[in-house]
Amino acid sequence: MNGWLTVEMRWLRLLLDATVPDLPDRAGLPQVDLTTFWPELARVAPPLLRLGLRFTTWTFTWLPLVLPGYGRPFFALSADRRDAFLAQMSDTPVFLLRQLAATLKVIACFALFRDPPSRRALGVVP
Amino acid sequence: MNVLDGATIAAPHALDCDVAIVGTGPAGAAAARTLALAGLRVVLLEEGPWVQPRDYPVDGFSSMALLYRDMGANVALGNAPMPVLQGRAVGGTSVVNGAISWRLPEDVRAGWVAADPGLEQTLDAGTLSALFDEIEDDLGIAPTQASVAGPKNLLMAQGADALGLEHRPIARNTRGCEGLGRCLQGCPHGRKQSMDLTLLPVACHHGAQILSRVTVAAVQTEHGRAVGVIGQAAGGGRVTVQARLAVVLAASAIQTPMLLHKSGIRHGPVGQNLQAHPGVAVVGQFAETVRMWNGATQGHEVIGLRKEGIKFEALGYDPAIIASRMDGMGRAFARNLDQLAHEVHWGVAVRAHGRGRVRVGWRGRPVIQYNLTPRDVDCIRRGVRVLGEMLFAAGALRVLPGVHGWAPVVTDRREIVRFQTEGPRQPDAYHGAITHLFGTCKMATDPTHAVVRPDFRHHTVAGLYVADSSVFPTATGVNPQTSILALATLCARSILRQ
Repeated sequence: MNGWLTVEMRWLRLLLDATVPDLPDRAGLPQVDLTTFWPELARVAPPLLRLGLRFTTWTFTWLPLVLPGYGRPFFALSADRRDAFLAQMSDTPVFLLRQLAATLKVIACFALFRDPPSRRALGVVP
Repeated sequence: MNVLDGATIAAPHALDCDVAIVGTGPAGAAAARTLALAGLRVVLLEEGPWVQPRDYPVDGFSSMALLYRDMGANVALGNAPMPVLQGRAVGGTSVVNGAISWRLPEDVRAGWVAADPGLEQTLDAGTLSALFDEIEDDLGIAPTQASVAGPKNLLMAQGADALGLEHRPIARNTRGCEGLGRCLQGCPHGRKQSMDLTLLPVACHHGAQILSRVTVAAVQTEHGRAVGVIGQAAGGGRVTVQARLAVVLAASAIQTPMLLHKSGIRHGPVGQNLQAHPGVAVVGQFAETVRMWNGATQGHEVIGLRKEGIKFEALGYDPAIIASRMDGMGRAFARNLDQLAHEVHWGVAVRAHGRGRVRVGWRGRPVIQYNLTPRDVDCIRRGVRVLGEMLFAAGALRVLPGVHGWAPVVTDRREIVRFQTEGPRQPDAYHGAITHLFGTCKMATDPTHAVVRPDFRHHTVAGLYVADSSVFPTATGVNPQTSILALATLCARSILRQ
């Protein structure tokens, strides 16, 4: 996205992939090509959403480093710990963090369901 | 249709007309049609694009990117931050709404007139009734047929019957609905009778011109009179429209007060008194396949509690939105997606007592503040309980209230009954959305408490009118499109009388 560092994009992609990961019997977001999704999102997202997404990216990447029970940044966590961290954020009493998790989930779903094979895999036709 | 795409306007562009109308949603379209039929030269300005039904995207993201203001991500700040959903296209929100049509309820009209008897002449019950008849004919408004309802709507009827609540198929402005379930992405077959397919073509046939992708920056005034508008075309050109008789603002209860502020027209409580219908969804999971993205998008409603300010509707939207409301994150969430075709979402909309305001923020963007009252939260809690009971009564195996601080999955009906009294009281525990907005340029006789007069004229600027739901004194408690169409027509008649 416009103005984002390559590393930020990598962190965001990792967070989104972890939100809807692959399952043994079904591909998740990691298998979806987002090449055309990013520029479209950058073009239409309002400033508050773009800011929120960037804030989410930094917060969720580095918060596990200081949060008890994790001790390392998100990209260095195992799949189990990533799941646990995201679930914790989704249900935290802190409203802002819950909203960040919700934002991540919405963007992940937008990206997933924009992909025709993913829609078909989940029984959505067309 | 006579549409000039602002993307093609790179140089200064000037137009003359009798009436300039800002906005092409139901308010702008109804006013334009009435004025054009009367022989006036009308120019409409629309910030969004003109999109043909065949070009409406299939997926939720692409349609929200193309047809919604700020891709539906604008947020009302306050004690329960909620997204504010508005269309932005030729046809306005009518392109992406659920096509739900309600006459202004008589108890609401009577309440407005009782609070300000000066409204009686404009909002005469007989005049409104005749207008509603015409609108219903024009837009093919009729109850949703069972043949296109789909399971999610039929299940709601079962649930309401079991609880003894009054319910009915929703009357919608559609013709030949095929039950594609894509109203909120724009009907790809043009079955929904949105403004771009109905009133705007009539207006254009009678000489009206539409400028799409032109953002109006200000209303121009001279000696206390509105004389036109200036705007910026997507192609970079400055657009100037001189209006001989009137400027009509029909840009929504958010954009209209914003435009007045930006134009330096700040008389009265402009931008204040924001009222709305906040809503939350409750999810039921059924053993059978439901595929809630199929069938009439919103085809059934429960109206037994309407006079208490609570109304229930079957919901329908793109699977991306359905999925984003599902429980869990990570692999648990991915596994929950197996339930996608088994979910039904029903919504409770509240005629809230909450108030808010709209003001101009950074880079001219709207800052919307809105707070729910404790009474509103009580209504929502009651609504969640009733919806949960209806879902269980209709055969749901599990109910997902979607409320922070309560069990994410409920399998025991007693637990959802308990919700009404023991559910969270803090507003931000609820994940809702706002779809209907009112009152930010309130209509009333007293100029100290209103922005426009009972005949839609601005209290202090001659030749300036407001035609959209900004003028509504209060929320209506029902879907407002038909009321907006009627009041905007009355606004146009008022212009013709001047």
